[in-house]
Amino acid sequence: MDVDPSKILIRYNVQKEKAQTPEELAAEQYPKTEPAKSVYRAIFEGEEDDVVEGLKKAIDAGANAIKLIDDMLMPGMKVVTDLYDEGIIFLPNVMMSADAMLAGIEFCKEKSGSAPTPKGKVVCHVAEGDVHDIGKTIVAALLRAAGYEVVDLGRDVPVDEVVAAVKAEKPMMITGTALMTTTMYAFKEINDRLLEAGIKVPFQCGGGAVNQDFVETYELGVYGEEAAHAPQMADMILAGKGLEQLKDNFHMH
Amino acid sequence: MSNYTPKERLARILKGQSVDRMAAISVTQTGTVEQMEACGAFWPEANEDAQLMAKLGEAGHTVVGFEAVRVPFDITAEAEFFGCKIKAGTKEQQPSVIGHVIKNIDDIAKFEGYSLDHGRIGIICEAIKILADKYGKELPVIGSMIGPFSLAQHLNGDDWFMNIFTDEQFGLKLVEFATEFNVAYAKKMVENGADTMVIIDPTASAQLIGAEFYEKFVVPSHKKIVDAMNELNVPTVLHICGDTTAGLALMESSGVNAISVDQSVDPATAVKSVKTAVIVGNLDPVNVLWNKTPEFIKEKSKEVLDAGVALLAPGCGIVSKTPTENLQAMVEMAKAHKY
Repeated sequence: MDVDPSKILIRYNVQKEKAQTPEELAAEQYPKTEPAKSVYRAIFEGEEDDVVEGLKKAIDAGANAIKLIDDMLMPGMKVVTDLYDEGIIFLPNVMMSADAMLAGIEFCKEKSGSAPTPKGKVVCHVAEGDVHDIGKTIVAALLRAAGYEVVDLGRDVPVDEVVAAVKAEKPMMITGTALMTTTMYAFKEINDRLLEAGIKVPFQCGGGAVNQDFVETYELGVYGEEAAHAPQMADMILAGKGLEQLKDNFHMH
Repeated sequence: MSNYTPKERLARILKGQSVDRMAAISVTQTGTVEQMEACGAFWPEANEDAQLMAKLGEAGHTVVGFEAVRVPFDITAEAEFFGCKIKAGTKEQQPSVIGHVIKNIDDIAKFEGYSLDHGRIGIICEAIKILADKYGKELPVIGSMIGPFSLAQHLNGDDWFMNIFTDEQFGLKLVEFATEFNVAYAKKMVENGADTMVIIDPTASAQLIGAEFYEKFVVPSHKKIVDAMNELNVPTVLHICGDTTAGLALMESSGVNAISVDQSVDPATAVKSVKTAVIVGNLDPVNVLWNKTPEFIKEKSKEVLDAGVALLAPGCGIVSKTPTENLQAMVEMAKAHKY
């Protein structure tokens, strides 16, 4: 890596009354023992090879490859997403880390010859006409990091395709993101088409152009202000909460 | 008491000089279905044909009452110029970029030595010329283009945000390449009669990439465009989507005359956060301008005006289905406002 994040990303931590680098803040969350510590650090730094290296050591020492996903990769990624939520690190860091973590998951699957059971399935898409997929990229990464299977339809996805995917995949939740104001009314159309088909799946909508007032205008819509709300919402659905409870929880304005 | 032409008035406002009243304009896209029906120039054709583009740009003035004419209506002509695959727009939707052409630093060289005469870039300049010939003495002729960071993202695709992190040399080189294009294109728009330049750089947000990356990858390129425009006495407006509150000081450091803020920014805070740039904004294009009544729009306009913005305007591109009477409510409020 050409860039040394410690030289360019410095944050003044008011509580501790001293300047702490994001790396130091992340390191505070690492486990004390190896190779877990190295795996956490490699995820934070976005170093795929080091993630795999650490996992190898753990497996050689007798760890169950599939269990490592929950024990090391997910919590390692959580350190990253927590720092992102706090505005300490930014999108490039999260994308790098998500890539490294996903490489780790692939490695664990290969090693064990089996796939972990996902907690549930989520269909993610960017509104038709909108090619800004930053929001969706983060949402999908966070959902995967939290153990959900993501069916990523990509960006600029026609309403028909979203509806067809929901019928075929039967997800527990749908997410839609839009950065451009002019594109987000596709969400309402998706909502109407799903209701017509008798499908009542929570439809989390968010992104630069989207706000709660708009999302409240259609039944299935739940407004997700932060990308991190996506896995939280999925967890609530898993815990048996319905649309109204989701709205109560996430409609804060 | 002065008798400013709309053209003089807007130029003075953008430069922070005193005027008789506020100008009624939109720095973001103005095309709507009602205007298309009124003037007979429709998307997507009006994105492709200079006469039709000028006609729909003109409708912003003749149908709605904006005190300016503005083209184009989308931000994909620049990526299309370099061969990015475009998904065509419809009557109600703008076209979008779906394919990318630059993977790595070696790819950039393939695109050096372009001529600005071909593609939709040329059509936009032609439309500007038609508008400038007809209205240029009286009305501001606003040209707009995508900014260099977002153009680089269009050219490079999804990996752009990671590439600026992992391959700084490539990131800087691509931004520099995009900036050179932006400067040349902006100059060409000015040659054809544009007198105000809007830079729309939606994803160049400090909120997304952090202040350090913004300072490195965005500020210098915006400054180059601003400097080139200053030499031609053309004021610049910078629009970035999302909550830019924390990034305003950095945005201003490029020297832009005005910053257009989106509806997620508190306008009073924005006004306090800048030193020399003026704030433009920020009625919500969906929840206010599109979906509400003229009365509600006037109420909201008053709040934004009370916050001290220099220009009352939509917080992002106007939604194509927005009723004309709603836009006229905003226009009326702007025209009635004295500073």
